Amino acid sequence: MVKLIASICLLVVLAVANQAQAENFNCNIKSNAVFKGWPDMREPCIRSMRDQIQKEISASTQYMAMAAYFSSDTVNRPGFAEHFFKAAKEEREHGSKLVEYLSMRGQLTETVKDLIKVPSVKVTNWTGLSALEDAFKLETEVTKSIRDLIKTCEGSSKKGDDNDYHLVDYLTGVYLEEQLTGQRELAGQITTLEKMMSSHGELGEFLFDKNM
Amino acid sequence: MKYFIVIAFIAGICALAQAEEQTCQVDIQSACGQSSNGGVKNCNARYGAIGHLEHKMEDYIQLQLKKSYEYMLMATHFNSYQMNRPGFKKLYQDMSDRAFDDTIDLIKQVTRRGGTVDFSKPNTHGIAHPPEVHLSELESLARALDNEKELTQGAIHVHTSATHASSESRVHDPEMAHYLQDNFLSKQAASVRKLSGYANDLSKLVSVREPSLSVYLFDEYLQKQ
Repeated sequence: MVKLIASICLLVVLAVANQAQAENFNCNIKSNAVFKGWPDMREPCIRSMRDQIQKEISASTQYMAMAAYFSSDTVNRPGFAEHFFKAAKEEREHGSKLVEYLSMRGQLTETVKDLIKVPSVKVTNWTGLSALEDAFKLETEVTKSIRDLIKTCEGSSKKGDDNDYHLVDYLTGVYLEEQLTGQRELAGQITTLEKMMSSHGELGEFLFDKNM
Repeated sequence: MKYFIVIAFIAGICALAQAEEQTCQVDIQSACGQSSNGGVKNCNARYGAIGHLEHKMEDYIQLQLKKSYEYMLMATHFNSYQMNRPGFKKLYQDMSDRAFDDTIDLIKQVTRRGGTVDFSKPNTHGIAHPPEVHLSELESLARALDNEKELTQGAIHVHTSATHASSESRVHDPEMAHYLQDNFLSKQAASVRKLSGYANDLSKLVSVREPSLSVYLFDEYLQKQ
């Protein structure tokens, strides 16, 4: 009899416990198989990559501010505006691709939170020419910072133990390539616009904008 | 004396009329006649309630941009090898892209109406305190749902100012209201509904003792959306 009561009690307790468990969601799926020994990127390289991501995002916001300026009715340079909206998208894309690269290499498991900040932009008005020149300056800075990033990720060991060959190749082949062709395009645009404006001033900018 | 009063009166009326007529044509006429070239500042695309709407739109633009990056970070979180949820990654990446495109679209709308968007102001919606993005699958859906409601509320806020003559301004702005309805309010409603559905589905799925497989299947479902 005592045994029966005890077993009934046990069952009731178990049922209550089961009930309580069903009421709570199991939100966090804990895995004991999460291995941490694999990611092999070096700390200085990771840090520089993170900085580079922020730089791309800042460049994107800068271009967006320019695009907003050229969109306004009293400035009315739709060609410039579209050009810079496109540039803003491209820079964001560059940042996003670098983020994905870090994920591919096993990074960004616990330190995603403060990866990106939305910056504010210092300059608020431009001329067509000054905008192109600012854009050129910005691209030159980004190129330099990618070069520095490559150097950091190449490491300093003579044997190449800390050389991140794959990332270095990716940055050199994809990012530098894009930077350099982009710079050439901007430089060409600057020369053309300068020539058009030296003889025809406002008309030069007007025509240049329509053909962008 | 009588003539003097009449002349003064007429001069007064003329001055008043001139002060009231701040039109582009008046500007151009005075600029072309070179009587006093005050510029052509009345030649602009501003009308309706753009004056008090443009700052609200500016805030909304900043909010969209901030959320775009927040979603990007959420996507990144689920893209890590330790989370490995391609469906969730896709969901948040798409939302990030959409918020970024919306940012650009809003800028185009403000400038179409003769407003400006100033990016030099310190970002009131900036990520001074970055939001927690290291969330579980269900928590992330909850956060996304709240975010989408915040974005909807932002659109409603501007829409309210555009439709209801408030104490600030008695001017209605049907064009701006229509733009928000067409491009944001219905889209936001769909987005809020979708996320609420997801959150409720997943809540049911994880209220079991071992939810790993449920979440895996839900993620697979998200990939196909």
